[in-house]
Parts: sequence; C-alpha cells; structure tokens
Amino acid sequence: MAHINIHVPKLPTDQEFTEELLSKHASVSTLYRRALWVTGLLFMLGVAAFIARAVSDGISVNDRPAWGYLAATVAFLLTTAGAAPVIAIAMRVVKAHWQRPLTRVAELYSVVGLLTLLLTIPLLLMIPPAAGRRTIWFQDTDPPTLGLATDGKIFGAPHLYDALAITLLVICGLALLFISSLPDMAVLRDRQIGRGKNFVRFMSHRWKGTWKQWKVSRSAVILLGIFYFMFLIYTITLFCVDFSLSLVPGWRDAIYPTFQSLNALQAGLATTIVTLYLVRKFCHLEKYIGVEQFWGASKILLALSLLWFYFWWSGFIVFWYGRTPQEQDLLQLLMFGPYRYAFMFAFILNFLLPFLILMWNAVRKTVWGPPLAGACILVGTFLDKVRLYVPSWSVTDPLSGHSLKHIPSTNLPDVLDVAMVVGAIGGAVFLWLAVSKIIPVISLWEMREGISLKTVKRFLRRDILVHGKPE
Amino acid sequence: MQERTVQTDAEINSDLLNNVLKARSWYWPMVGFFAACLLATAASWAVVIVMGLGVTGLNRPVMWGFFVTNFVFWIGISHAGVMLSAILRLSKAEWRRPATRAAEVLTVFSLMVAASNIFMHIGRVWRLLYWALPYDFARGIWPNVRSALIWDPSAITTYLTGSILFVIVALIPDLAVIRDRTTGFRHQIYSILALGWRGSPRQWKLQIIAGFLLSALLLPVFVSVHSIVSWDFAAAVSVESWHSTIFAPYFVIGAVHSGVSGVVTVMIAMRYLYKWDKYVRPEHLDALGKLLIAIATAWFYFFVMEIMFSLYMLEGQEIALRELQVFQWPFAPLFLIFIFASYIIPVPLWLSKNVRRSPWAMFVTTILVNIGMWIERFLIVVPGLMRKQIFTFDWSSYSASIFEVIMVTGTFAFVFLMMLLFSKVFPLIPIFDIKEGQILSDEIKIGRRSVPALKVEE
Repeated sequence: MAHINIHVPKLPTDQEFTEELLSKHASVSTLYRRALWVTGLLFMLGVAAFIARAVSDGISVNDRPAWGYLAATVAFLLTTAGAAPVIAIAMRVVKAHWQRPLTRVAELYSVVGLLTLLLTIPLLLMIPPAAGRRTIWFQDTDPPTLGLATDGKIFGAPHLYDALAITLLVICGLALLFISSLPDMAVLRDRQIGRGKNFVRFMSHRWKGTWKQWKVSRSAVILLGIFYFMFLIYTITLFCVDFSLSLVPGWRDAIYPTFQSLNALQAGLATTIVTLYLVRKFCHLEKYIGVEQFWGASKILLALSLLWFYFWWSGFIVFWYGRTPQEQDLLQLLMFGPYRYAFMFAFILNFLLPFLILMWNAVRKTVWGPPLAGACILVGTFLDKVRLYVPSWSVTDPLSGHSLKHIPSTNLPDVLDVAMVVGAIGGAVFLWLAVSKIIPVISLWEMREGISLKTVKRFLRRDILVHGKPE
Repeated sequence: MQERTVQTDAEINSDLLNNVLKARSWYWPMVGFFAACLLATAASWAVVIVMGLGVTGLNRPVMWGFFVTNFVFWIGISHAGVMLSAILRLSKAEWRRPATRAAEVLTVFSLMVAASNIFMHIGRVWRLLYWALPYDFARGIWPNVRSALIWDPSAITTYLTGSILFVIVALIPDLAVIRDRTTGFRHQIYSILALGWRGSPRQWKLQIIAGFLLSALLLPVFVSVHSIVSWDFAAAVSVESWHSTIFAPYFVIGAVHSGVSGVVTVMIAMRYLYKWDKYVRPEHLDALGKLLIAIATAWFYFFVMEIMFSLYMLEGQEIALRELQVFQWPFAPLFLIFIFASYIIPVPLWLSKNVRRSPWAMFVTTILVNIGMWIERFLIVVPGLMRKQIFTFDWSSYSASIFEVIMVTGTFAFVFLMMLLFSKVFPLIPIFDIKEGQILSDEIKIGRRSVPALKVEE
C-alpha cells in the first residue's frame, strides 16, 4: 500500500486562528504605511509622466509609437493582476485543501482591474478603426469578401468591444471579491475592527450567515469565478489581437491569443506566489502559510512554465519552417531583430530559469524557491510584453497591407516611459495594499472551514492527517 | 466519495478477477465477432498490397485520405492514457482509480493501431524502408531528418515503449494476486510476469516511485507525439488551412478530448459487461464529465481561433477552402455533424449533473464526441488537399473505396478485440489501486454529520 509518511502539524483551533488573524488585520505597521506612501508617490509620478507625454506627443492614432511602453504595461497588468483571481477560482473548483490561505491574496488583485480599465481608455484612442485593415473584426472589404459576412461595418469595432470586455472583467472581478469576502466583512462588522468600518458595515449589513445565504454565496462564488475566467480569456484574446497583432501588417498567428492566455495563467500564479511570500514574511503568518501552499502552487507553476515554452515553440517552428517573407519579417521584428535582448531575457526568465529552479523537488518544497521562480516570471512577462507591444506600436507602415514595408528600429524607453511604467505598477501595488486593510488578506471563512475539515487520527502505529471531503 | 461501499479485499479480488479466472457467456462469441472483422480487414489489406493503392480512393492531389485520418484519430485516442493516468496520478485525484488501467491499455492498443494505419497508407508496406532508412549511400539519398514525418516514428515508438512500461509497472501487484489464485501452467506464467512480487514495503516504494517517474517522463512524450503529427500538416506552406501556428496545441487538446471520451466509453462498457457497478460509480462519471466540460471548452476555444485566423488575412484561396469545408457538398453535412457531435450536443448535456451521473447518457455522448472528432480529422486532411493550389496541377475529389472502409472499421475491431483479450488475462481495473482507495478513505464527524474523508498521503 501507499507509503504514508506525514509530519502532522499541531492544528490550531478555530478560535485561535480567528483571534490571531483579526488582530493582525486591525494593526497597521510602519512598514505598511511606508509601502503605501512609496507606491502612492510612484503612482503620482506616473500620472505626471502620463500628462507630460500627452502634452508633448498627443494622444491620437498617429501618436502611437510614443505610447508603446504604456501599452506593454497595461498588457502586463492584465496578464498578472488581472489573471491572479483566476488562480483562486481554479483552486476552489478543484477543491484543493492547500489553497485556502492563497485565495484572498489572489482575489484582492481584482481591484487592480480599475486601474487597468482606466489606463486602457487612452490606449483605445490610439487604435485605428478596423475598417480597411486586417483584424478579427473582418472589416476589410477589399478584395475578396467572406461568405459569412461583412461588407458592412460592425458598429464600434474594435474600440467598443475591447472597452466592454475589460469593463465586464473588472465588474465581474469586483463582484467576486465582494461575494467571497462577505462572510469575513460580517465578522469585521460584528467585532467593529479594521479600516473602513462604515464601508464594511454597509456592504455586509444583510449577511447573517443563514444556511440559505451560505448556499447562495457558495454558488455565486463558483459561478462568478467561471464567468471571470471566461471574461479574462475573452479580454486577453481581444486585447492582444487589437493592441498588437493587428497593428503589424502580415502578422497572422493563430496561437498568439492562446499563448497570451496561457502566459496570463502563468503570470497570475507567479503574482499570487510572490505576494503570498511577502504576506507571509511581513504579516508574520508563518503558522498559516506554510511550505504546503508553495509546494502545491510550484508544481502548477512548473507545468505552466513548460507550457509557455511549448506554446512559444509551436508558433515559432511553423514560422521557421514556413519561411515566407512575412514570416521572416515577423521573426525579425519580434524575436531576432531590434528586440532580441528583450526576447532573450523573456525566454530565460519565463521558461529557462523557472524550469531550472522548479525541477528540483527539494527547491519546490521550500518557502523561497517558488517565489524566486515567480519573481523571474514576473520580470520575464514584462519583457515579453515589451518585445510584443513596443514594436507593434512602433510600426508606422500603412496597416492595410499583407506585409511589413520595413522593420522599425529599437524604441528604447525614455524617462517618461520609465516613470509611466513604474507609476502604473506602483499604482497597482498601492490599490492592493489599500484594500488589504479593508478586507482580510486571508480568507477567514475558508480557513475556518479548512480547520473544521481537518483532524488527526491514529492509523496503524502513527498519527496521520485526515481531510474531510464533504462533496 | 459518498457512494463508496466498504468491501473486503476478498470481495474486491473476486469481483475484479471474475473475467480472468472464469470467462463469461458472451465473451467468446464477442471475441469471435471482432476476430471475423479483423479477418475481413486482413483480406482487404492483402488486396491493397497485391493490387496497389489504385484500389483505394487516393488520387492526385488527395494523396492522404481515410488512413491518415484514422492515424490521427487513433493517435488522439492514445492520449487518454497519460491524460488520465499520469496527470491524475501526479495530482493524486482519488476518482482516477477505476479509470487508470483502461486508459493505459487503450493508449497501448490505439498506438499500435495508429502505426498500422501508416503501413496501410503506404500500400506496399516494404516501401516504408525507403522512407525511413538511408538506402542509397552512393547517390546521397537520406531521410530528411528535418521533416516531422521522420520524427513521427521516433515519437510514436518512444510513447508506445513508455506506455507499455507504464502498464507493466502498474500491473505487477495485480499479477501477484492472480499468481496466488491460479494453478498449473497459468500459475507458472503469472509467477514469471509478477517478477517475484511479495508486497514488501521496499517493493511498494519502488513501484510507486517507478509509477511517478514514468508519469512525469511520459508527459512530455505525450505532448510531443501529437504535436509532431500536427507538424506533418502545419509545416506544409502550400496547403491552405494547414499552415497554422496553433496546430500543435489544437491537435493535443483535441486528442485529449477524444481520448478521455474514449476512456469514459470503455469504462461504461466495462461496468455493464463485467457488472462492476460498485467500482465504476456515478461519482466517477460525474468527475470525468466535469473534466470533459473543461477539456471540450478549451478545445472549442482553439477551434474558434484556428478558424478565425485562417480567415484573418482574407485571402481568396483560404476563404474558398473554408467555404468548401463548411458550406459545400459533401463536406457541409459532415461539418454540421462534427460540430454538433463533438461540442454543441454533449457539452450542454454534461452541464446537467443527472446526465453526468447517468451511464447511458455518458456512453452515448462520449461516443458522439468520437464520431465528431473522427470527422474533424477528415475535414482537416481531405478538403485542404482537394483545392487547386500553386504547387498542384490537378484538382480532384476523394471518396473512400470499400477496402479503405473495411480496413478502417477493422482498426476499431482490433482495439476492441485486444481490450477483450487483455481483460481475459489481466484485470481491467487495478486491484491494488482500489484496495489502496479503500484504506485511505475515512470519515470524520462535523457536528452531527459524518463527512467522507481521506487520509492524506505524502
């Protein structure tokens, strides 16, 4: 029979856990305040840089080359913070026990969606209309028409649908965060602790914890989660096609949206793991966030990193074997030409280093190994977005053709670009930090449920852990 | 785990070995039927070998037809083994237990039958040597090692070898159980096959480690096999609809869709034929149904991307080809059947818990999926080749000859026959895995309620 070799930890009681977590939630450390100030200031710096860039270069379709780094940053936020809640959803759906401490950490990133939405608005102003060029909206009437449609225009494409997709994603994310944190807000309401007491009281005033409320809330969390996942894939598909692929004549790449979606899952998990590590360290939650969480998450991160390579390779080999002039231009533009260093480091940081770190079980089973790989992936993902979005936004050729007329040279970031990038990421961290003091950073109800479903039993000659599986 | 019934080891042995130790009344007639089908296939194949490929429907430019379609289909089915067995074993999903053996065995037989399709496709089989081996050093004729067509045999044989090892490693404890319950010649054979298994802690540890290692090693092979098959198509620039960057993952996820559906079909057939209601329970079908919803939806997303980006450049030839695939005779009805059978009918049905838990509904829907997925492969292979293209000088249609139909039907008969023969010699549900599941399952009290629970392995 299976070799059972368990280190059985001392299980905390429901009461102990609740008291400890609530006291940590109520306290505000100096470090927290400083972090809030620093990220807030960075955000203000980013806003100033944005205004300066808008004044100096303008915000119109023809000004696109000056905004490539902002586009890359928005894509990065959508891929990391936007995808983090999906990790919580996936773990809940598969009913993994070890996920309980990380769901809220991931879900809190839903609020960053507000910033992503805000930053998408100026980008939308710089996207040309779909008419007269190759897009997934099929508005090019010259020469052959599609049997299925569309000589006429699709109203508002692509701007309206991109805006709608991101808006729906943000609304769904916020609703998910609200529903899943409702029981915890009710606890805070009843105990009168934490920041934003009035807000918490207002939001949770109907929650009494009846059997019916629990049933509805559980179903809502799963349903909203599934919707969030679908909206995320839909949004990333539209975003990456409309904000990069269709801006480069001759770039036909069916795997690109799926590759970007896969990258979102990888980067979303990396974001969650890195944040979990920081929460554990700075909130002193070592008792509740243990190796088990990092070990469980690291296996999925390893699989996703391998898939990153597989998806990239699947696209690359077809271009490499095809060798049509368009494909050779694309390989130059995106991988081996002016952005080769960005691509090289993205490849190393998104696949090679995480693979080399996470292939060792001894490293996976540590508190530092998975966050290290996660940090590499976050940097790699940013560089990947730079090598995909900045050259796309640098193309000044007419967009109606079948191929690039010339490959744009490297667009290095200037001071304003750097300030906007740092400001956007700072703003995202600021939002997460701010909300984490209103809603507990660890899901109280899920942890308490986990505690009640765990017990230690005697099996043969040793004590082992037994997990309840109610469904 | 709520439907689990507590059984003794003796009951499990008796139930799961009932066909091994004693044949059921329907067994030999069924074997005879499939053997007869196989005989017809052999006769058809003999005709093709003697008369050449002219007796098939293959022509210029449609040089790939039923055989290649069937090859891709069976490679797809073979993905069930690793998907269910390796991934679920690594993720320690409890509900995997009754499904793993059938999945692994299905993998082995589908890979064998997939490879046989290539031999059929070549016509005179000895010509395979010209294609795979360097045969004329003087003129410098070498196999093109940069071609995915050359990578195929390596990938398939590696996967087949790994899968057979995987089956054997998981079989050893069960072989020892049969060894201890047989006498005479059979006892001697099973003693050899059981490799001296005594069930010592060290043997268990090694068996578990070997299972995990093989699972992890087979995963990249499993992905590579269908990816390489997809590059047989995608590397060809000249055929519209084939040169697509999404082909590799699209083929893999399609393979998983059809493979897992195939395993569900086989599990339900086993449940009915061998009366294994206590082992293949509605909760297992429910879990597999949920998994299938996720897989099918992912596959559908890839399918939409593939179609969308084939039209993306609005090129006349590509649009004409898609119109042929979707709107024109004879492919339009096939396309409708494909899309309804592989997604539109089954997935909404699977959303209902009642359907997921109903063996008959799952049996029918999973068979539908595989009908749809076979047609999908046909729609990829044939219409693309039918089109007049820059590198072809002919434009023709394709209709399979009776020989092709018989031979393709025979591949199904081969797999069913092999599954039946396997079930006569080895248990199709892993006995040791079921017993382990019994030991690890538990109950805990929460308030006034008993909740099913699991002892945690590490």
